[in-house]
Amino acid sequence: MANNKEAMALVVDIGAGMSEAAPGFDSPLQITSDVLQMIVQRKMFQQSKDELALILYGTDETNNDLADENNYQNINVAFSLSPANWHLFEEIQKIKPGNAPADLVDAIVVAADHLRRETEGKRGFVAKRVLLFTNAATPFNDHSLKIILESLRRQDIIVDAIGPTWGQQDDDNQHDENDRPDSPMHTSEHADNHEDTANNHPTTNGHHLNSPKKPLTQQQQTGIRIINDIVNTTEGSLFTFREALTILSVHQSKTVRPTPTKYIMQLADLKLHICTYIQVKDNKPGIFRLKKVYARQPTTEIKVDRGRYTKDEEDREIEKEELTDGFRYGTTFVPINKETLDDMKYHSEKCFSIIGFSDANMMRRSLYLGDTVYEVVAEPAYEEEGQVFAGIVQAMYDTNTVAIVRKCFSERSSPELGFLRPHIAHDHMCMYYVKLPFAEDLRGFDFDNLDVIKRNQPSDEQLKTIDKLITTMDLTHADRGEEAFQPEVVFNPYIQRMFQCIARRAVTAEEPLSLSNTIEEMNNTLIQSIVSKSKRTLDTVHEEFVLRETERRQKITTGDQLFGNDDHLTKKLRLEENENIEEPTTDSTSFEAQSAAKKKAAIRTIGTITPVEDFKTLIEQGSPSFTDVCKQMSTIILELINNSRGDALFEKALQCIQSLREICIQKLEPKLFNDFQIVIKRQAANIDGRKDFWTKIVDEKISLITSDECIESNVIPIEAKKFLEEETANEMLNNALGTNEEDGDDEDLFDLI
Amino acid sequence: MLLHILDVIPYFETYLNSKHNFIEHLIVFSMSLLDQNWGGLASNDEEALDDNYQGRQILTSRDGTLMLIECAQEMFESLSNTMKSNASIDDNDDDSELKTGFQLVMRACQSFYQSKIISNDKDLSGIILYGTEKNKNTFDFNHIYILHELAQPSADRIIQLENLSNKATYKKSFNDLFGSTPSKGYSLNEALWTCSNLFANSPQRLTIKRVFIFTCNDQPHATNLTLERQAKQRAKDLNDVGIQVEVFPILTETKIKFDYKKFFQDVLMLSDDELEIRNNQTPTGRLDELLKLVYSKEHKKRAYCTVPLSLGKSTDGTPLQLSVSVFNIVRPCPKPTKIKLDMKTNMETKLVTKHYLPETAEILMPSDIQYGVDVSNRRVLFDADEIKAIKKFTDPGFQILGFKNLSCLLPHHYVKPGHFIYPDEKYIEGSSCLFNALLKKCLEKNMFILCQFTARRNTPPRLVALIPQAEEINKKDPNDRLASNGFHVYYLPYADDMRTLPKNDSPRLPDDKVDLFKNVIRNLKFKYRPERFENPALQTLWRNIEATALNKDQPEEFTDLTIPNIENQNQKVAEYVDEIKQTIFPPDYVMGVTKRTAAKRKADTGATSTSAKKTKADGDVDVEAAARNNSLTKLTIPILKEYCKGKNLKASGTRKQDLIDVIQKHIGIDE
Repeated sequence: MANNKEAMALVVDIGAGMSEAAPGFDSPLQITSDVLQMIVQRKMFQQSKDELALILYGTDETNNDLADENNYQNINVAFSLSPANWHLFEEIQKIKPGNAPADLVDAIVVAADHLRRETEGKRGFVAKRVLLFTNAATPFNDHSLKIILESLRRQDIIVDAIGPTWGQQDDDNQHDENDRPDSPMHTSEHADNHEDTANNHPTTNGHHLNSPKKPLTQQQQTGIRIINDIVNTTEGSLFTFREALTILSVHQSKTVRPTPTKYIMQLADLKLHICTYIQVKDNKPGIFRLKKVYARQPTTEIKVDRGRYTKDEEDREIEKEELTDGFRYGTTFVPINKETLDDMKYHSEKCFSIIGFSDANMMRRSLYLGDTVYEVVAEPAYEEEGQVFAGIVQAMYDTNTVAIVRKCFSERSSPELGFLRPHIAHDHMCMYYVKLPFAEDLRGFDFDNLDVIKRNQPSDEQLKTIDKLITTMDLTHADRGEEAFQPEVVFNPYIQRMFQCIARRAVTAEEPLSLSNTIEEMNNTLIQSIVSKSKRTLDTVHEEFVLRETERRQKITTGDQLFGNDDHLTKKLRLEENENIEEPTTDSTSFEAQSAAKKKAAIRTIGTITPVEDFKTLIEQGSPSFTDVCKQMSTIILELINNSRGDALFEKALQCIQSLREICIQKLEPKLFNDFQIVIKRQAANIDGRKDFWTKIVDEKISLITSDECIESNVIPIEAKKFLEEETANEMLNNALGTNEEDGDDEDLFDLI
Repeated sequence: MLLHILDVIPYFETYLNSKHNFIEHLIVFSMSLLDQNWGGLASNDEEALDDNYQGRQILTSRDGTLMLIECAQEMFESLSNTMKSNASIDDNDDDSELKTGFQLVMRACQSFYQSKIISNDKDLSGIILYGTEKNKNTFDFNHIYILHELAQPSADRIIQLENLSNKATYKKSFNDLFGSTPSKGYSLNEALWTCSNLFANSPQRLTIKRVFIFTCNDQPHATNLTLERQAKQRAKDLNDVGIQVEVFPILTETKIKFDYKKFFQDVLMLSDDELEIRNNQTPTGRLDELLKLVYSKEHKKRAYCTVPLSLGKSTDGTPLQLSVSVFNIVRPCPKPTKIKLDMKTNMETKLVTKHYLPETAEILMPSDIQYGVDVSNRRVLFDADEIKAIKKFTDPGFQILGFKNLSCLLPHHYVKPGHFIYPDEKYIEGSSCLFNALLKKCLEKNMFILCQFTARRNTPPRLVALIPQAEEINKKDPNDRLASNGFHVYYLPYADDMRTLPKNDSPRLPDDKVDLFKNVIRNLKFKYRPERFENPALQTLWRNIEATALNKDQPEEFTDLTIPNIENQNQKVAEYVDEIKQTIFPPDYVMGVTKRTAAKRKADTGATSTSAKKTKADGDVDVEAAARNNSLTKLTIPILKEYCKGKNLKASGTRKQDLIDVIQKHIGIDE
């Protein structure tokens, strides 16, 4: 869909004031950088065709097409208009504060000129936009503003601005109550109302501001007036730094083009053309679908083979042609061929039929099913039918009813049940469709009335406490009179974290994962502020209600802590290890260099492809420690044994064992090997264990390391022989386990796995 | 195939599961710690077992039912009239289809099996006959014949039971298998003992064990006090080990009354009141229940997980938490899964997934695999562990953010099916009281609780609304609870999930016109109840599989209530609809017809095709005409493909020329 792309110039003021911030707060430039990174990430990850340019003003260097000796100085087109890529991302990361004087109006002119030059003669651009980030603190020259405004309008360039504050705005433009109540798009502060401390505490959008606020300078006030002018003329929008994130929603929503699905809605004799659009659906960016690649050679994508095998001893592979579809009927398998299967399916025509109407109050939200909310509107081409549709919506709205609908997407799909709820706003009229359950989908669980048990009945005092808790933690008007945590402005921290992780990994491949992310931080800040506000009430709740952890709970939490610590430690270890890796000297951004670095890094662990070689390399390297490498080797061996189909990998596993044995003898560490061999034998005794592999070991006479072979060993040859010969019976193994435990090294062994 | 991140975890689980027992034990141990979910396990979605949080060798809880059926001569007499009229399951059949008690019981067992296969095919059932000529049991008791050992139901068993109830075949089948004994010396004690022995030897752990006795004798051991005493004692023993006993009386021409007091009061351990009720019940009531075929899945009440609900911390740092169990009370009922069978043996097959290098075909282990994504010509790599870490935000549980008025929930705020929470005292005592207080106050103040909810350790958090739900009781029937008290967990969308759609501001109708529509609505109003509509696709499939498995010509009938009865609707609202048509549409307007160009419309007026696409037949004609004119190259690939698909033609490749070749060949043959 290259026909609706957008050209966007990101214009950033890096001059005085942009990098100033009170301690503990992010500077405007920092926020700008964060927001820009997010925009660029999303554009890249969504493979958007939109083109971006980055223009900085206030830079020491001058780089733009309009510049001559006197004009347009200190404006740097850091990235010319093209689709978002890593280079742009890195340019954004490189933004440093500057203090060369540069003119705000000049910068906009340069941006407009750049957009014009770069889009001229190219097809597919439907919109041109300038996104201006500034605190309007630098002086500028506005004598030709009129002409500039005229020219911007002529070229259809929209200017959006992000700044400290915008005074009272006529917020009607672009503001849409029904769809996206982006409440923070307008602020109620006056430019001169500095005492307003509301800005100080984090709110829904939660960004730490460049507050405590300083009074705006004369210069800023003038600047703000001019920017207001420009934005209004070009029908753009104004955002404060605090609201900067909502830009994301503005840009992000453009990436999914709404596509209508058409139906004929039927009600008695009425047949109406309608379309449905997806209004709400869990957003799972396609980029989250990852490829499996070979760790040693990341350019190689791993192929997957899915074979069908008989479910018996024989374990024979079955060809596709020898398979037939079927169902399980109790324990009976019912084979069914393709044609019969199609006959057996329920056949329905495509439809959208109203079964009847029901009281809207009956539609409990707990019944909603499916993963999508659809908006339903009349198809515009059919005017009269549209009137009927409007009539139905209005009548349903007035009578507070919903319509129960049978909907079937196509002849090939199963019909579903859903309902339509009318929605009327001052400039919008539609219905929302949500799926409903069938009788089979209801679980019919039943729960006792809580009041039946006397102990569960709260006292009046307790109820009063909860009442107070609800009042102190009421979010309905908590965000400066607005609803806090509105779903419309809370972003999914996971999507953002994933994006950031991918971006960071792409730019600095060798750095360990850093999981912090702006959105999460902001959400957390807000949570913290709420929690702190309700502390006192929570104390009362604590006094009023007796909550006692049971033993069961305690057992779990301590266990978890133990494990958690452990987990933490190993991770730390791993990260430290990573740090030890010699920095690759080549340009880390090139793909080859990356994979080379990866490869080098990877030789800190043993792989299953060439385990013996890896093992020897690592032993020679002398790091990680000998014990660690042996542990790795043991793990690999177990992995090979357990994943072996038949005895396919046994040969390799045997080689590994041999190699491990040799090295352990060499390094005078027989115990490591001997303990491991006990593990293998013990495993062999298990049901479904690889007894066949143990047989191999016996055949190959790979015994425990004896005192003859290695002075450190306390196993005498006759014991070793016996160990191989003895049955893998359970009692005997228990003995082995027993002795092993006495040695106190059991733990180590477990760590292997 | 691309791997979705979500798939990484299951992949690892399979890997872990493939390891062998002793390793598994260790992993199981660490897993149970890993899963900080107090109860519940990271099984696919559903059915996590709350009471079994220790490990993953979960024994799915199964029920076991044994049918203990008397085969005395009376069971082969004609049924009593009350029995006949009530057991009216075979209205359409020949009247005399189920003439005898024995047939009726066999039919009941058959229905029970059939229903079990749909509702819970993991449950075990079996059939033991007593009073038979032949013996078949481990103790060599006389007159006791185990027809079906305790096992999951199968098509063979059902077909066998069908033969045993069928008018034409039942006598022969019965006599061939076991026959009836004229002797009265058989012992109910021994029969019950056999039942209890079958239960004891069950390979599966059973949560509920039941014995259903079908008999026409209300006093089986009237002449032998020793046997009677033994039987009663045995029944008590069964009760002691948790086996429930139930009796289904069969009335025949000669046995027209069944008095529980004579013998079965003691076997069933009925109080006098209960006895009174029993004796006044029509004996067929419960049997009819068994005879009814039920196509509905049964769901065991299990928590999806049990997690803390955290209000925050008090000043001294004590976390304020209560414990709640999370249930899924509405979820799409899965269709029976298609499986792949070995054509030769009709046996199940298994899928083995191998990862290998394309060049060397070397099989790879999980440790050799990394996960990559290509962005702007860069391949970005992660380990499986890192991907887990990216998904992990907080430990599982609810974190209260605050309270909001219910009006803050807008109509389109929905993203996926929710849950239901109910307090749990097993982990934190006192949870119920605090929960109850929150519930009462939220109901009173019309508020919901806004929470951040993390379902599992490696699941990113979501915003949820906890919507209070008061208990609702059916006014007509105090035992019918319409809704239980607790909170509904309702997922809210993130800003990322909501899309901006084009504005649609159609002109409003004036009130007088709207009134016409109100009339339509008023007359088509009904009380929506969710249990009212069965899933036509699911029901059809279930019935068809059953018919195929049991070699029936016709599947059981199913009425689809989701198809609106247009005629009926018209009857109710025709006058208003006509008025609407007259006020809004031009005189000869045809609704629901897709607009076409004038010429086209002339060609097929009256067509009600919903799509502007050419019908298939049209397309075929076009393709064939083009082929004759040698202008196939001018058609688009999709059209050619569609044609090939319709005619079942297989092209040698996917290039256009391949398609053209095969079409030309096809038409050449036709001519």
